[in-house]
Amino acid sequence: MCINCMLCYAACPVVGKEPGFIGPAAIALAHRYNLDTRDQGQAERLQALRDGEIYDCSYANECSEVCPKSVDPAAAVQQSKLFATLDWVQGLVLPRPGGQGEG
Amino acid sequence: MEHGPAKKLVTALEPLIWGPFVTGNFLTPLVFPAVVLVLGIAYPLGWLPADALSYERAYALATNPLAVVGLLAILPLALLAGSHHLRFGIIDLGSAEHDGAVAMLVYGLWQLGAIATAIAILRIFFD
Amino acid sequence: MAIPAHRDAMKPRDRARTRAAAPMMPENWWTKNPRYRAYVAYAWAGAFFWLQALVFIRGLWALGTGEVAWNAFLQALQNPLFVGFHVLSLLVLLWYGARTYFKLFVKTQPPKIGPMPRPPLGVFPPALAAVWLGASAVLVLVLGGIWP
Repeated sequence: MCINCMLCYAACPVVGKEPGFIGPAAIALAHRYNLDTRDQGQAERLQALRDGEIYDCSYANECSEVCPKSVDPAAAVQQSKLFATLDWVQGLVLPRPGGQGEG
Repeated sequence: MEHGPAKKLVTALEPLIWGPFVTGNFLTPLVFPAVVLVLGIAYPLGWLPADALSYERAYALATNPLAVVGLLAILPLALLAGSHHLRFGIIDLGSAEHDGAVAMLVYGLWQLGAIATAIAILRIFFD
Repeated sequence: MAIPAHRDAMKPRDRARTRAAAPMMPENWWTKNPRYRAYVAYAWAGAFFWLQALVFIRGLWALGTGEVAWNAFLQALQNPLFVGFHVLSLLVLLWYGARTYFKLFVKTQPPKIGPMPRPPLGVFPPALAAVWLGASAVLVLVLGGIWP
Protein backbone atom coordinates (compact mmCIF):
# COMPACT_ATOMS: atom_id res chain seq x y z
CA MET A 1 0.00 0.00 0.00
CA CYS A 2 1.07 3.57 -0.71
CA ILE A 3 3.57 4.96 1.79
CA ASN A 4 3.64 8.48 0.24
CA CYS A 5 7.29 8.13 -0.69
CA MET A 6 6.60 10.23 -3.86
CA LEU A 7 9.01 8.18 -5.99
CA CYS A 8 6.25 8.01 -8.59
CA TYR A 9 6.16 11.84 -8.75
CA ALA A 10 9.91 11.92 -9.21
CA ALA A 11 9.72 9.32 -11.98
CA CYS A 12 6.73 10.62 -13.91
CA PRO A 13 7.67 12.76 -16.93
CA VAL A 14 4.21 14.32 -17.02
CA VAL A 15 4.52 15.57 -13.44
CA GLY A 16 7.66 17.34 -14.58
CA LYS A 17 5.98 18.84 -17.65
CA GLU A 18 2.38 19.61 -16.76
CA PRO A 19 1.76 21.78 -13.70
CA GLY A 20 -1.93 20.92 -13.54
CA PHE A 21 -1.46 17.15 -13.48
CA ILE A 22 -2.26 15.83 -10.00
CA GLY A 23 0.10 12.86 -10.25
CA PRO A 24 0.11 9.07 -9.77
CA ALA A 25 -0.29 8.70 -6.00
CA ALA A 26 -3.24 11.09 -5.83
CA ILE A 27 -5.00 9.29 -8.68
CA ALA A 28 -4.27 5.86 -7.17
CA LEU A 29 -5.80 6.95 -3.88
CA ALA A 30 -8.85 8.44 -5.60
CA HIS A 31 -9.24 5.19 -7.54
CA ARG A 32 -9.10 3.20 -4.29
CA TYR A 33 -12.14 5.15 -3.09
CA ASN A 34 -13.92 4.90 -6.43
CA LEU A 35 -13.60 1.12 -6.24
CA ASP A 36 -14.84 1.01 -2.66
CA THR A 37 -18.36 -0.39 -2.81
CA ARG A 38 -19.40 1.65 0.25
CA ASP A 39 -18.48 4.93 -1.43
CA GLN A 40 -21.15 7.35 -2.68
CA GLY A 41 -18.88 10.03 -4.10
CA GLN A 42 -17.78 8.67 -7.48
CA ALA A 43 -19.34 11.47 -9.53
CA GLU A 44 -17.68 14.29 -7.60
CA ARG A 45 -14.41 12.44 -7.34
CA LEU A 46 -14.34 11.71 -11.09
CA GLN A 47 -15.05 15.37 -11.83
CA ALA A 48 -12.13 16.27 -9.58
CA LEU A 49 -9.97 13.80 -11.49
CA ARG A 50 -10.96 15.35 -14.83
CA ASP A 51 -10.11 18.79 -13.44
CA GLY A 52 -6.84 17.27 -12.26
CA GLU A 53 -5.91 16.60 -15.91
CA ILE A 54 -5.59 12.83 -15.58
CA TYR A 55 -5.76 12.57 -19.38
CA ASP A 56 -2.31 14.14 -19.57
CA CYS A 57 -0.96 10.74 -18.54
CA SER A 58 0.25 8.96 -21.65
CA TYR A 59 1.36 5.72 -20.05
CA ALA A 60 5.07 5.95 -19.38
CA ASN A 61 4.49 3.35 -16.64
CA GLU A 62 7.53 4.66 -14.78
CA CYS A 63 5.42 5.27 -11.68
CA SER A 64 4.62 1.57 -11.37
CA GLU A 65 8.22 0.64 -12.19
CA VAL A 66 9.65 2.62 -9.28
CA CYS A 67 6.92 2.00 -6.70
CA PRO A 68 8.47 0.13 -3.76
CA LYS A 69 5.08 -1.14 -2.59
CA SER A 70 3.67 -2.41 -5.92
CA VAL A 71 0.70 -0.05 -5.75
CA ASP A 72 0.66 0.01 -9.59
CA PRO A 73 -0.51 3.62 -9.96
CA ALA A 74 -0.25 3.33 -13.75
CA ALA A 75 -3.10 0.82 -13.76
CA ALA A 76 -5.09 3.09 -11.42
CA VAL A 77 -4.62 6.05 -13.78
CA GLN A 78 -5.68 4.10 -16.88
CA GLN A 79 -8.73 2.69 -15.09
CA SER A 80 -9.58 6.17 -13.75
CA LYS A 81 -9.46 7.56 -17.28
CA LEU A 82 -11.96 4.90 -18.29
CA PHE A 83 -14.30 5.62 -15.37
CA ALA A 84 -13.95 9.38 -15.78
CA THR A 85 -14.84 9.13 -19.48
CA LEU A 86 -17.86 6.91 -18.85
CA ASP A 87 -18.98 9.28 -16.10
CA TRP A 88 -18.53 12.29 -18.38
CA VAL A 89 -20.67 10.71 -21.11
CA GLN A 90 -23.28 9.71 -18.56
CA GLY A 91 -23.30 13.29 -17.25
CA LEU A 92 -23.96 14.61 -20.76
CA VAL A 93 -26.82 12.22 -21.39
CA LEU A 94 -28.38 12.19 -17.92
CA PRO A 95 -27.75 15.59 -16.31
CA ARG A 96 -27.30 15.36 -12.61
CA PRO A 97 -29.25 17.44 -10.10
CA GLY A 98 -27.03 20.34 -9.13
CA GLY A 99 -25.38 20.34 -12.54
CA GLN A 100 -22.00 19.12 -13.64
CA GLY A 101 -19.00 21.34 -14.45
CA GLU A 102 -17.92 21.73 -18.07
CA GLY A 103 -16.34 18.50 -19.30
CA MET B 1 -1.50 28.68 -12.21
CA GLU B 2 -3.09 30.06 -15.34
CA HIS B 3 -3.86 28.08 -18.42
CA GLY B 4 -4.54 29.86 -21.69
CA PRO B 5 -7.96 29.57 -23.35
CA ALA B 6 -6.86 26.90 -25.83
CA LYS B 7 -5.52 24.68 -23.06
CA LYS B 8 -8.68 25.19 -21.01
CA LEU B 9 -10.85 24.19 -23.96
CA VAL B 10 -8.75 21.11 -24.61
CA THR B 11 -8.82 20.07 -20.94
CA ALA B 12 -12.59 20.42 -20.86
CA LEU B 13 -12.96 18.29 -24.01
CA GLU B 14 -10.36 15.65 -23.15
CA PRO B 15 -12.90 12.90 -22.33
CA LEU B 16 -14.46 13.48 -25.76
CA ILE B 17 -11.04 12.96 -27.35
CA TRP B 18 -9.88 10.11 -25.13
CA GLY B 19 -12.73 7.68 -25.87
CA PRO B 20 -12.24 7.71 -29.66
CA PHE B 21 -8.46 7.89 -29.15
CA VAL B 22 -8.46 4.61 -27.21
CA THR B 23 -10.69 3.03 -29.86
CA GLY B 24 -8.24 4.09 -32.57
CA ASN B 25 -5.33 3.02 -30.38
CA PHE B 26 -6.86 -0.44 -30.27
CA LEU B 27 -8.15 -0.83 -33.82
CA THR B 28 -5.24 0.65 -35.78
CA PRO B 29 -2.59 -1.96 -34.90
CA LEU B 30 -5.30 -4.61 -35.24
CA VAL B 31 -6.08 -3.74 -38.86
CA PHE B 32 -3.16 -1.81 -40.37
CA PRO B 33 -0.41 -4.46 -40.26
CA ALA B 34 -2.34 -6.92 -42.43
CA VAL B 35 -3.14 -4.26 -45.03
CA VAL B 36 0.46 -3.01 -45.02
CA LEU B 37 1.63 -6.59 -45.49
CA VAL B 38 -0.64 -7.15 -48.49
CA LEU B 39 -0.40 -3.76 -50.23
CA GLY B 40 3.08 -2.70 -49.27
CA ILE B 41 5.07 -5.91 -49.17
CA ALA B 42 3.28 -8.95 -50.65
CA TYR B 43 2.03 -7.16 -53.76
CA PRO B 44 5.33 -5.49 -54.77
CA LEU B 45 7.20 -8.73 -54.15
CA GLY B 46 4.79 -10.63 -56.41
CA TRP B 47 3.45 -12.96 -53.76
CA LEU B 48 -0.22 -12.37 -54.60
CA PRO B 49 -2.40 -14.05 -57.25
CA ALA B 50 -2.36 -12.13 -60.51
CA ASP B 51 -5.58 -10.12 -60.33
CA ALA B 52 -5.81 -9.76 -56.52
CA LEU B 53 -5.56 -5.97 -56.69
CA SER B 54 -7.01 -5.38 -60.13
CA TYR B 55 -9.17 -2.30 -60.49
CA GLU B 56 -12.38 -4.35 -60.73
CA ARG B 57 -11.62 -6.34 -57.62
CA ALA B 58 -10.42 -3.34 -55.63
CA TYR B 59 -13.53 -1.42 -56.65
CA ALA B 60 -15.78 -4.31 -55.62
CA LEU B 61 -14.03 -4.60 -52.25
CA ALA B 62 -14.10 -0.86 -51.55
CA THR B 63 -17.77 -0.44 -52.38
CA ASN B 64 -18.84 -3.36 -50.19
CA PRO B 65 -20.96 -1.83 -47.37
CA LEU B 66 -18.85 -3.54 -44.69
CA ALA B 67 -15.72 -2.06 -46.20
CA VAL B 68 -17.24 1.42 -46.41
CA VAL B 69 -18.29 1.34 -42.77
CA GLY B 70 -14.93 -0.09 -41.76
CA LEU B 71 -12.93 2.50 -43.69
CA LEU B 72 -15.05 5.41 -42.49
CA ALA B 73 -14.60 4.21 -38.93
CA ILE B 74 -10.98 3.13 -38.84
CA LEU B 75 -9.17 5.70 -40.96
CA PRO B 76 -10.34 8.78 -39.00
CA LEU B 77 -9.76 6.91 -35.73
CA ALA B 78 -6.22 6.05 -36.83
CA LEU B 79 -5.61 9.69 -37.71
CA LEU B 80 -6.98 10.81 -34.35
CA ALA B 81 -4.80 8.35 -32.46
CA GLY B 82 -1.84 9.60 -34.48
CA SER B 83 -2.67 13.24 -33.75
CA HIS B 84 -3.16 12.64 -30.04
CA HIS B 85 0.10 10.71 -29.81
CA LEU B 86 1.97 13.37 -31.75
CA ARG B 87 0.63 16.08 -29.45
CA PHE B 88 2.28 14.37 -26.48
CA GLY B 89 5.33 13.43 -28.52
CA ILE B 90 5.91 17.11 -29.26
CA ILE B 91 5.19 18.27 -25.71
CA ASP B 92 7.47 15.64 -24.18
CA LEU B 93 10.47 16.75 -26.22
CA GLY B 94 9.71 20.44 -25.82
CA SER B 95 7.80 22.52 -23.35
CA ALA B 96 4.32 21.87 -22.05
CA GLU B 97 3.59 25.61 -22.17
CA HIS B 98 2.62 25.15 -25.81
CA ASP B 99 0.12 22.35 -25.17
CA GLY B 100 -2.86 24.50 -26.12
CA ALA B 101 -1.36 25.58 -29.44
CA VAL B 102 -0.01 22.12 -30.27
CA ALA B 103 -3.39 20.57 -29.49
CA MET B 104 -5.16 23.02 -31.79
CA LEU B 105 -2.67 22.16 -34.54
CA VAL B 106 -2.88 18.37 -34.29
CA TYR B 107 -6.64 18.21 -33.89
CA GLY B 108 -7.08 20.75 -36.67
CA LEU B 109 -4.98 18.54 -38.94
CA TRP B 110 -7.09 15.63 -37.84
CA GLN B 111 -10.24 17.39 -38.99
CA LEU B 112 -8.70 17.97 -42.42
CA GLY B 113 -7.63 14.32 -42.59
CA ALA B 114 -11.06 13.06 -41.59
CA ILE B 115 -12.75 15.21 -44.22
CA ALA B 116 -10.25 14.03 -46.85
CA THR B 117 -11.01 10.42 -45.88
CA ALA B 118 -14.75 10.91 -46.27
CA ILE B 119 -14.31 12.61 -49.63
CA ALA B 120 -11.91 9.90 -50.85
CA ILE B 121 -14.42 7.19 -50.00
CA LEU B 122 -17.39 9.03 -51.48
CA ARG B 123 -15.51 9.65 -54.72
CA ILE B 124 -15.33 5.93 -55.33
CA PHE B 125 -19.08 5.82 -55.73
CA PHE B 126 -19.31 8.72 -58.19
CA ASP B 127 -17.75 8.70 -61.62
CA MET C 1 21.38 21.70 -20.38
CA ALA C 2 18.17 22.11 -18.44
CA ILE C 3 15.16 23.97 -19.70
CA PRO C 4 12.06 24.79 -17.73
CA ALA C 5 9.58 22.11 -18.70
CA HIS C 6 6.81 24.57 -18.05
CA ARG C 7 7.01 27.92 -16.38
CA ASP C 8 5.01 26.66 -13.42
CA ALA C 9 5.97 22.99 -13.40
CA MET C 10 7.00 21.76 -9.98
CA LYS C 11 6.42 25.26 -8.65
CA PRO C 12 5.78 25.30 -4.91
CA ARG C 13 2.14 26.04 -4.27
CA ASP C 14 2.96 28.63 -1.63
CA ARG C 15 5.94 30.51 -0.42
CA ALA C 16 7.74 27.91 1.59
CA ARG C 17 11.22 28.63 2.72
CA THR C 18 12.52 25.21 1.81
CA ARG C 19 13.39 25.82 -1.82
CA ALA C 20 15.15 28.59 -3.68
CA ALA C 21 14.26 27.62 -7.24
CA ALA C 22 11.84 25.21 -8.90
CA PRO C 23 13.53 21.99 -10.07
CA MET C 24 14.05 21.80 -13.83
CA MET C 25 13.70 18.82 -16.10
CA PRO C 26 16.84 18.26 -18.19
CA GLU C 27 16.33 18.51 -21.93
CA ASN C 28 17.61 14.95 -22.35
CA TRP C 29 15.35 13.50 -19.67
CA TRP C 30 14.02 10.89 -22.06
CA THR C 31 17.48 9.39 -22.61
CA LYS C 32 17.91 8.55 -18.96
CA ASN C 33 16.47 5.04 -19.11
CA PRO C 34 15.09 2.64 -21.75
CA ARG C 35 11.49 2.94 -20.54
CA TYR C 36 11.51 6.70 -21.12
CA ARG C 37 12.86 6.08 -24.63
CA ALA C 38 10.11 3.53 -25.26
CA TYR C 39 7.54 6.06 -24.01
CA VAL C 40 8.74 8.75 -26.43
CA ALA C 41 8.93 6.17 -29.25
CA TYR C 42 5.35 5.11 -28.50
CA ALA C 43 4.20 8.72 -28.88
CA TRP C 44 6.11 9.25 -32.14
CA ALA C 45 4.63 6.03 -33.56
CA GLY C 46 1.65 8.34 -34.12
CA ALA C 47 3.60 9.77 -37.03
CA PHE C 48 3.52 6.33 -38.66
CA PHE C 49 -0.23 6.13 -38.11
CA TRP C 50 -0.55 9.38 -40.06
CA LEU C 51 1.86 8.44 -42.83
CA GLN C 52 0.34 5.01 -43.34
CA ALA C 53 -3.23 6.30 -43.23
CA LEU C 54 -2.28 8.95 -45.82
CA VAL C 55 -0.96 6.19 -48.10
CA PHE C 56 -4.27 4.35 -47.77
CA ILE C 57 -6.27 7.54 -48.40
CA ARG C 58 -4.12 8.23 -51.46
CA GLY C 59 -4.98 4.72 -52.67
CA LEU C 60 -8.69 5.26 -52.12
CA TRP C 61 -8.44 8.57 -53.94
CA ALA C 62 -6.80 6.83 -56.91
CA LEU C 63 -9.52 4.18 -56.85
CA GLY C 64 -12.12 6.94 -57.01
CA THR C 65 -10.38 8.64 -59.92
CA GLY C 66 -10.38 5.60 -62.17
CA GLU C 67 -8.55 2.58 -63.47
CA VAL C 68 -5.56 4.48 -64.87
CA ALA C 69 -4.98 6.28 -61.57
CA TRP C 70 -5.37 3.04 -59.61
CA ASN C 71 -2.81 1.26 -61.78
CA ALA C 72 -0.45 4.20 -61.34
CA PHE C 73 -0.87 3.86 -57.57
CA LEU C 74 -0.09 0.14 -57.76
CA GLN C 75 2.94 0.97 -59.87
CA ALA C 76 4.14 3.46 -57.26
CA LEU C 77 3.78 0.83 -54.53
CA GLN C 78 6.47 -1.19 -56.25
CA ASN C 79 9.09 1.51 -55.77
CA PRO C 80 11.78 0.07 -53.45
CA LEU C 81 11.67 3.14 -51.24
CA PHE C 82 7.97 2.58 -50.71
CA VAL C 83 8.55 -1.09 -49.91
CA GLY C 84 11.24 -0.07 -47.41
CA PHE C 85 8.85 2.40 -45.79
CA HIS C 86 6.17 -0.26 -45.54
CA VAL C 87 8.54 -2.75 -43.94
CA LEU C 88 9.48 -0.13 -41.35
CA SER C 89 5.85 0.83 -40.87
CA LEU C 90 4.88 -2.81 -40.33
CA LEU C 91 7.58 -3.26 -37.68
CA VAL C 92 6.52 -0.07 -35.89
CA LEU C 93 2.85 -1.09 -35.98
CA LEU C 94 3.62 -4.56 -34.64
CA TRP C 95 5.75 -3.15 -31.80
CA TYR C 96 3.06 -0.59 -31.03
CA GLY C 97 0.34 -3.25 -31.09
CA ALA C 98 2.27 -5.54 -28.77
CA ARG C 99 2.81 -2.73 -26.27
CA THR C 100 -0.82 -1.63 -26.50
CA TYR C 101 -2.46 -5.05 -26.27
CA PHE C 102 -0.17 -6.92 -23.89
CA LYS C 103 0.70 -4.11 -21.49
CA LEU C 104 -1.58 -1.10 -21.71
CA PHE C 105 -4.88 -2.84 -22.44
CA VAL C 106 -4.42 -5.24 -19.52
CA LYS C 107 -3.77 -2.33 -17.15
CA THR C 108 -6.88 -0.50 -18.29
CA GLN C 109 -9.25 -3.27 -17.17
CA PRO C 110 -10.90 -2.32 -13.88
CA PRO C 111 -11.75 -5.04 -11.35
CA LYS C 112 -15.36 -4.65 -12.33
CA ILE C 113 -17.51 -2.44 -14.53
CA GLY C 114 -20.89 -2.10 -12.89
CA PRO C 115 -21.84 -5.63 -11.86
CA MET C 116 -19.63 -7.33 -14.47
CA PRO C 117 -16.40 -8.74 -12.96
CA ARG C 118 -13.11 -8.90 -14.82
CA PRO C 119 -11.81 -12.24 -16.11
CA PRO C 120 -8.42 -13.30 -14.67
CA LEU C 121 -5.75 -10.99 -16.06
CA GLY C 122 -3.81 -13.88 -17.56
CA VAL C 123 -6.67 -14.45 -20.01
CA PHE C 124 -6.15 -11.15 -21.81
CA PRO C 125 -2.81 -11.57 -23.62
CA PRO C 126 -3.67 -14.89 -25.31
CA ALA C 127 -7.22 -13.72 -26.08
CA LEU C 128 -5.96 -10.48 -27.62
CA ALA C 129 -3.26 -12.32 -29.55
CA ALA C 130 -5.93 -14.66 -30.95
CA VAL C 131 -8.12 -11.71 -32.00
CA TRP C 132 -5.12 -9.99 -33.56
CA LEU C 133 -4.06 -13.06 -35.54
CA GLY C 134 -7.62 -13.85 -36.55
CA ALA C 135 -8.39 -10.36 -37.81
CA SER C 136 -5.06 -10.15 -39.62
CA ALA C 137 -5.57 -13.55 -41.25
CA VAL C 138 -9.02 -12.60 -42.54
CA LEU C 139 -7.73 -9.31 -43.93
CA VAL C 140 -4.72 -10.91 -45.61
CA LEU C 141 -6.86 -13.64 -47.18
CA VAL C 142 -9.56 -11.25 -48.42
CA LEU C 143 -7.31 -8.43 -49.65
CA GLY C 144 -4.75 -10.83 -51.02
CA GLY C 145 -7.27 -12.46 -53.30
CA ILE C 146 -6.80 -15.86 -51.69
CA TRP C 147 -10.30 -16.17 -50.23
CA PRO C 148 -13.18 -15.92 -51.09
